[in-house]
Amino acid sequence: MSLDVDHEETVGCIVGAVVQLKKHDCATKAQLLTYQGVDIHGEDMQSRLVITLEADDHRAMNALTESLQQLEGVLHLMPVYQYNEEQPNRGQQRGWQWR
Amino acid sequence: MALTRRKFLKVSAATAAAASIGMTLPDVVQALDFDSEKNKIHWDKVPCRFCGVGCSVLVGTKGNRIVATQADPKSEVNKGINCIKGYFLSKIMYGKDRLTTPLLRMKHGKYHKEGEFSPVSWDVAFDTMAKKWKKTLKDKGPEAIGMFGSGQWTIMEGYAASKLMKAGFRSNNIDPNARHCMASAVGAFMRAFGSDEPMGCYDDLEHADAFVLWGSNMAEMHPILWTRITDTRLSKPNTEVHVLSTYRHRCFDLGDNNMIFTPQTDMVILNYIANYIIESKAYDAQFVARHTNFKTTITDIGYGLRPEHPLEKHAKNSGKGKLAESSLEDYAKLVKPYTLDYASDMSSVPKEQLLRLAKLYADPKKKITSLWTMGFNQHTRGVWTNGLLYNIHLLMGKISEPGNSPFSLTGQPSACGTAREVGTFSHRLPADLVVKKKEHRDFAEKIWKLPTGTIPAKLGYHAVQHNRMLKDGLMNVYWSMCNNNVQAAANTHEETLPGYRNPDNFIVVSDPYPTVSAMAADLILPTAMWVEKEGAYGNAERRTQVWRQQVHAPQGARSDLWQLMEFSKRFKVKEIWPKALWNQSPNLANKTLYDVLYRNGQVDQFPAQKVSDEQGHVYANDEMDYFGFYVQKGLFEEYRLFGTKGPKKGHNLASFDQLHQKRGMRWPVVNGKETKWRYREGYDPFVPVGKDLYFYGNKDGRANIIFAPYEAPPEVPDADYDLWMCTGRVLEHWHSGSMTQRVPELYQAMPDAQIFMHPEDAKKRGLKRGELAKVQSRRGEITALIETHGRNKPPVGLIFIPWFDARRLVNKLILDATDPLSKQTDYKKCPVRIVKV
Repeated sequence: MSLDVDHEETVGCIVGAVVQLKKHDCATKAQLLTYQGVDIHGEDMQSRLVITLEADDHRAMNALTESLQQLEGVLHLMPVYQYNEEQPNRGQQRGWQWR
Repeated sequence: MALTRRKFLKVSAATAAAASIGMTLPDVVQALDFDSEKNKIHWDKVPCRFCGVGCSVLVGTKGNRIVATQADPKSEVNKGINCIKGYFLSKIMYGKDRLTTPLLRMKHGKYHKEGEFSPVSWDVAFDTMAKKWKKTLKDKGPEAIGMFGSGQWTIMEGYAASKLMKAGFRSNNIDPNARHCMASAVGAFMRAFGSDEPMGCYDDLEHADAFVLWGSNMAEMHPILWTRITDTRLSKPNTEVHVLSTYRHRCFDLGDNNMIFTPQTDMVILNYIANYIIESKAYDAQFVARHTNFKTTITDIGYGLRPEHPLEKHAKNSGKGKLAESSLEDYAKLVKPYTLDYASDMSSVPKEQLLRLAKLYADPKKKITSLWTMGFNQHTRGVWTNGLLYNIHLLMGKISEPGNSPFSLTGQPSACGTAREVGTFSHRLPADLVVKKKEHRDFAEKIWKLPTGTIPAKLGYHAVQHNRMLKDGLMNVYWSMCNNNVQAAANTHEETLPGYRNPDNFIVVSDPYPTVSAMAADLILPTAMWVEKEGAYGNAERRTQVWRQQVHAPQGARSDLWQLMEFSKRFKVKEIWPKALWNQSPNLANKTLYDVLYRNGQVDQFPAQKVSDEQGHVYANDEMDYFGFYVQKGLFEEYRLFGTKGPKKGHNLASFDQLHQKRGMRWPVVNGKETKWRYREGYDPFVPVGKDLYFYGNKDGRANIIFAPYEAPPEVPDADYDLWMCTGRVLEHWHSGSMTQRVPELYQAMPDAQIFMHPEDAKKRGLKRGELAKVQSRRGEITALIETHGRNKPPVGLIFIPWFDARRLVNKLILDATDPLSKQTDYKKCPVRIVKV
């Protein structure tokens, strides 16, 4: 496989994660795929899914991750890999001030 | 085949996630190969900066910036998985308010306690500090100086700081924030086994048949270990998970027997289980006879408050911890009142659930791993409570073998490695030695090549005492590194801030960011963090992990190690030591503390060299460049002598070079081999042949089963303050949030501390979810939003508030009551009331 890559594209946030389902459950898998930016790449015998998530920025990624974690059939979601091309300094708590 | 970057990055992300659970995906390109070849990212292994689990993380560096992180698939700890904090690690260094210059409070160009923070050079900063230190030493002596350190210091930093304080300034007033975190665990280890830290390791998480959580929300605080437990629970038939807590949390989702108990009654439940085991004759009589002693502890010991506090005056044996000899028969009588009915009445846990738990422990065929953290440790009877759990494991002989493990989880990344093993506590020296024993001081002085009598015998002030002594003006110069104690310590307005702002005192805070503590100080020193320096951490399973420097700190910021060593150059021995002491070695008189402590022919024995990995990639080492020798290696190798040659056996660490090659090793390490289970023949090389099991921390090789009764907490809810309040952490934030609140994703995920409460409690007070409310205790109030449907679901009568939020200093509500033995504060049981804003 050639590794020629288009370096011009902006990708935003990409996350690789493992989702532990409460049990083997096709309905939850189907539910996950209804979310834009979610792809399922594999599943093992312990009902663990390998998924990727894509979003334009970290806010959208947060919202997406939080939504998936709230699904009834999801025991937990463990992010493993992150790539982020955003401005790094947005959205932080400011330095502490006495008031 | 041409691929877009998006596609490549997705493949990288999916591959990494799949690798973390041992799955292979078809048609994938290895993430590391792609990244390193095409994006010129350099990857290296580094232990995580946050909790005590000690995960290994791969960090991707491009130029002088960390641009990506990935869980380390070769790590034996996290096996390729990260939690959300570890996953955003790379961003903690890039907060927009990162400090890059020392800041001194000044008026009219000079230091002034009420002045504005003004940028100064490092020379001005250190000269100002040195002047204050010298004056204090001259006027009041070493007992008037103090230092507050951290379980987040690297091992070398903690070691260098301990040497500077105990041997250089000759003051034992150094204590780490591990005092707030692990001191009760330490106390119980020493009382039961005569040696600190767990006998088991994380491998127990795959070997056990049952897991019991005592006051630990592992799903949020130790998520990687929780994932391993989840895997075992879901893949191994008949595995059970029992969860005990004062409120419902995420671990309950997996629990088979979930128990919510009334605060402090964990002691009653533990004694009930011991009673059940004895009455049903389930205990391992042979194990008990061969390997244990029975003791009782002195009772009515107070609450570690100031001596004039009514509760201390009222206590018969305030602060005492003496043990008396006992026997199995006496022990059986002492636990007899702890019946099932009594335990259920006291704890409010239904009888059938308590009985199920007792039967589990009493079943000789079940391998049990018990796990706990702050629920046990931040407890006014923390040492006792830790010990009551050891009692159960010892009665059943369920200890020091795969799967049978009472396991004290650690809070910080190097609470074990730095605070405990290096001995940065006010009473300790490295490798379980203590300042009060002459034999131990003599040994330390010999290793450090110092005159006899250099290290003072008097116990230093512990962390809670630091704040009291600053307030009282008995301690006048104070250096705080690598933590944020104004936010962390209890009773902020009555006991912490008055000392920081006492006009007689000079307070220095070293930190990468302007924290609450930094802003309360007189001088702020900008600090290099995590991979901006070379270092080592020691995790909860005795694993020491070393890392290389990956990037340079922002210009102007310097590591804690550099700060300690550079500051030591400003003191000559004859200026600050009594003549009788330096006269023993007159050549020391004109030397600086830097010469004596760090250029002693031992710490500086390794010349400057290139630090490189197996692929030949060369790494920076700013301290080595500056001081001209391999500082980290020299400090570590000198420190290692305490384990290999010291009077307490079983503390042997792997060599510095060996650790660089590995993903950490669990001590004791002998002949290049680590130890997974201590005290057990076949695993631990210090167990004499034929002994099978030998608790060699105690002279007779036996562990102590110590009876302690239930004693009530210092305050309980009443008509005025009708709710219990418990504080703690949440998944997204580390401690006071000074790092994680600067990671956009983590900040957005949990920007504000909320009041987690039961809907009925809210309704009773006319409050709704999302409304602001005031939480008041006898010591102050904070305002926060009500959350009745969040991840934590307290029972009626209890609320939970996390303490990461600098805008709501919740710990100011807490009484500074401690376990009188460990001096660790109880942050879990504060009576409060809630009113509408």
